Amino acid sequence: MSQVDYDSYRRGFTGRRVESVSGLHLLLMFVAAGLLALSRVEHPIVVNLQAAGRQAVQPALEALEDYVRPLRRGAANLARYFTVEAEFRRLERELATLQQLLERTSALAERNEELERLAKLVRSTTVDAVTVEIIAGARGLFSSSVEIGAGVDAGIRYGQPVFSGDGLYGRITAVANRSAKVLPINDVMSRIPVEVGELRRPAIAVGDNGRLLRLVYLDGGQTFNPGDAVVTSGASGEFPRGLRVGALVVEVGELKVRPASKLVAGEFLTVLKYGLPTPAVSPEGDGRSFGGTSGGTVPRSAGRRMSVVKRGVDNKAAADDGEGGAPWVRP
Amino acid sequence: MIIVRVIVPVLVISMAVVFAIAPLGLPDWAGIMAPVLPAFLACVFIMRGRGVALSPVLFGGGLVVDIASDGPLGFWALIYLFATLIAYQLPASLVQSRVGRACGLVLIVFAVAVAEAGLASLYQLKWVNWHSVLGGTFGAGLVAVVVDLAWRSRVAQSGHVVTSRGGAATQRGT
Repeated sequence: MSQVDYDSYRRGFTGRRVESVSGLHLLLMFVAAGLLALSRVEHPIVVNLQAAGRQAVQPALEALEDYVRPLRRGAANLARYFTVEAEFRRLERELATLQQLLERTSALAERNEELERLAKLVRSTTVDAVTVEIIAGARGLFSSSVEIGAGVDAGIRYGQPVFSGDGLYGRITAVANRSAKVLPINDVMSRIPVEVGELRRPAIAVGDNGRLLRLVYLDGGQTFNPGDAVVTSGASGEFPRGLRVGALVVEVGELKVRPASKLVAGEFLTVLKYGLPTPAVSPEGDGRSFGGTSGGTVPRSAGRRMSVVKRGVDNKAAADDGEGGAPWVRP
Repeated sequence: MIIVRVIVPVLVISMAVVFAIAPLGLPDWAGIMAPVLPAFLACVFIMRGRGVALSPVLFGGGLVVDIASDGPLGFWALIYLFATLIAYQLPASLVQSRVGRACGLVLIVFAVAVAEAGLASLYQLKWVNWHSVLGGTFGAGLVAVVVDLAWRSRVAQSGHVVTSRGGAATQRGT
């Protein structure tokens, strides 16, 4: 008896359903829908449940990472093998451009030093940075955040700015002991205080999961030109002032920002250890406040009033400045 | 046999969930394909009469994917249970043949894609990217169809059929 015949015999060609749906199935659907609704309103029960679940899943993900890392690297190397010639030509072109820029930069650096000497400027800021491997990319429909393989143990804290090779990529939104989540600046949850144009008009750059950032609270009475620089204003205290976010563009009559970063996570990201007030985890470092992008457990406004940890700052005046107003040096 | 009816489907679904949450560094389109794959594999099992005790596994697996993917709690669990609800409702006469099961899977893929995009849009109060949802869901559906076809081939080669009631029915003439 073939399988078709047997199944036909069993089910009797009566047009019946495959199986009757159990009450448990319907109940679980109801529970899932309820959880989804509670997630939408960010009910504390769901937020705590998510945080606990994340804490439980995290060790498993880290263990999985150990197994899949060689596979991922192998696949990446294989992909690189097929593009190595094109990459080589691109690097040759870039090298030629960079050599020209290097000459110009050297001349400018000398001039800058001369001017600094004349102005008796005190060099003040050095900020540490750490380059970390991405261990998990964006997954699913709701979050474009990526996960990096270093956390509190490596000195990474909530809110620190993150760079890709091209520019500002995002910021740290959750930290565990050995991993952290990075929220890209184009994520729908991202809000960055910026300054626009030569007049440095304040605004907020808002992500919408697209390739451009929207600008809200921008003073409409000013004139802006496409290509005007958009930089961080430092108003939130999370980012230092003057980090390049992107350039102004006009899309369908609306001013938007084209990010300097391509926002395509490669294999590594650089985290800037900029002194930030909000602790990412409990003082014991057990990662209990690993709260995700939307369900943070520590209000940021409250966090700004908490103690500030300045790293690598060798200027007393800068260390006293709780809002990070010290001169900024790119890493 | 309980191994075939319960343990194998549960193991396969669990492995699919692990695949969905593993940090494999998959491209963006696979970010939707991998999470939805357990639903379609469960549908294959259900259409072959091996859907016993899958509901709690799908619910738990969905919650794990929700947590690992940093999404809202309950989304993937609901999608998994919705997909399998359709599989349970399909006419038994449709899923008796390979072509019928493929048609059933296509129907489920369409319904799941619409449900996924609709629910995500409703949740975020803005339209999600339909192209990536459709691409990822159809990719996962294709994998499920291939699994169903491969299963059929293996059964045909082995010369006997493992029945849904736990016994083994030898093919005619063997």
